[in-house]
Amino acid sequence: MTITEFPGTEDQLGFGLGLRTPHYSDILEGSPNVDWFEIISENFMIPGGQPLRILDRIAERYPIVMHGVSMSIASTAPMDFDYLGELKTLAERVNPRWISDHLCWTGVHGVNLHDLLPVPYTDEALDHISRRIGIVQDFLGRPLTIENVSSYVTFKSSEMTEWDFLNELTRRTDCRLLLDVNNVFVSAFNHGFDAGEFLDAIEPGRVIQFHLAGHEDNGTYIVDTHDHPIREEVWDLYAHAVARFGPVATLIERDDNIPPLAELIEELDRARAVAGAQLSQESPDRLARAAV
Amino acid sequence: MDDLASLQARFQNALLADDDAILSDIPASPREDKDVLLGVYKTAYGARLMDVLVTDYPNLHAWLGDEQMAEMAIAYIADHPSEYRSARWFGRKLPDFLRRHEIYSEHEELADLADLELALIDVFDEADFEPLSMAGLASLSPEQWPELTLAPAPSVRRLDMTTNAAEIWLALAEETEPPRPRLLDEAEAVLVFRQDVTAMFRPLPREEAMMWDSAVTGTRFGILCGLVASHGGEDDAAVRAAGYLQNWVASGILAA
Repeated sequence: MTITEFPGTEDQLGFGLGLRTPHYSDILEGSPNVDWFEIISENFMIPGGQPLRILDRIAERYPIVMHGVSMSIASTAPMDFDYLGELKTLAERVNPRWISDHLCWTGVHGVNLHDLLPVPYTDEALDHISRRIGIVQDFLGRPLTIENVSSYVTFKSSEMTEWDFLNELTRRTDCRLLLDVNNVFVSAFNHGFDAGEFLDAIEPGRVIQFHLAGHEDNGTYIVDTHDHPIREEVWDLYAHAVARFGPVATLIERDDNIPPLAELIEELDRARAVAGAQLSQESPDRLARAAV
Repeated sequence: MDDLASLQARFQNALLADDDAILSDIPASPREDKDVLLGVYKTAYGARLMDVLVTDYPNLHAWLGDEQMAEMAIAYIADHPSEYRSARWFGRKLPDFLRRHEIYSEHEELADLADLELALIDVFDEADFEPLSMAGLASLSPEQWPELTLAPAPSVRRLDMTTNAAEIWLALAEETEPPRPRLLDEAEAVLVFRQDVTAMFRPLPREEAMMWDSAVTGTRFGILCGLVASHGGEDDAAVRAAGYLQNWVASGILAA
């Protein structure tokens, strides 16, 4: 499997939104200016009923990306092949452009904590997660896309930076990266590293999607809540990301305090404008950054 | 993998049992105490599961009020660490929990309300199916009718309520004053089903409940008519049985 230098240019999805229940009727009755939708896979891993029928109708009109929260790729618990089977069944139904989940674990010993829990950046974890990504990619018959999470603690046992860990993971497995720009910002603030340094260290050519979202600033730490508009600092970081990685598919995530669709489309239009400004400015600058 | 496995076990224990042994694995953070930062995960764990229960059981929440709902949710979360890959299933054992709990079991309407709300969720998400149609029945010859067997749609649940929870639920849903909870002299049969895209329920009269319960075990229509006759009298028994059947077909609760 080969990865093109700028997958975003190969498969330009443009600017998308997370598909959320309150917007179903606006999407089906209008033609909102959204290029594609991302679904939370687990919300549709159900036997049938109205949500799946609505998804079928939306998938007829828009490209779909599947984004999961339960793969628990970093867990030391056994791989859940029932989960993977249901994920594959859903993928056969909606024909997603790609399937993503997070670089995290969600529980061990038969318990699910339903959170995206942090990983120590060790060689042991790298070996373990690489092996599991390989298993998933073989099972699904397609590359997996991995997202960086927001974290609130780190571990003394870490032997490398998060960006070195991600780069090595993609080298070993050929998986793709979903770069959550807000998560980079949140983790950088919480752990005291430079968010720009993170972006500049990630190898270009691996990143096929960006996430943008809002967060909650508690003064001494930031929590990734997806219940606010995107903050100015994250817009700045997004411009930096576009300059480095090019026209990568961009998605705004809103999971709580969900505003009317039109309000999210205004944010999406801002993402279009920010990306457009970066991409029209320069290819030399982008290529220079990409070459770093 | 020993180090990773033991670290994950310690981390999990912090969330499930408030055991902070994991703090020795976590370095100091530049802006905030590490126990506060670990607390972000602890708080999120409880809040997320609480949110699932409040979303799945809106009228149980309305019945209990915020404070008692939170107290009940905390007890349930402590008693039932999630074993589900999706949080959407986390609340499935709530009716059983309420029936077994020392205090909540004394308020039997709570488990009945939870049963009803869980069934409404279940039927909403159940598999799609081909419903039995009037045209399908009309094509039967007179000789075929007694041999007819019926299959319930997957999106149907049949409950027995020992309390007036259905009445309470309706009042809460309509935001009117709910009646006082009371035990019924005889359990009320309730059918929960999906009609088109809406989950709904209705009480079943005794005779209809008896016919339904027999029908879904594969009893032939001829025998169902006999059961109806023995229950409510032979006069017009076949007409009554046909009436129930017609209603079920119109409601889309039988599969072809």
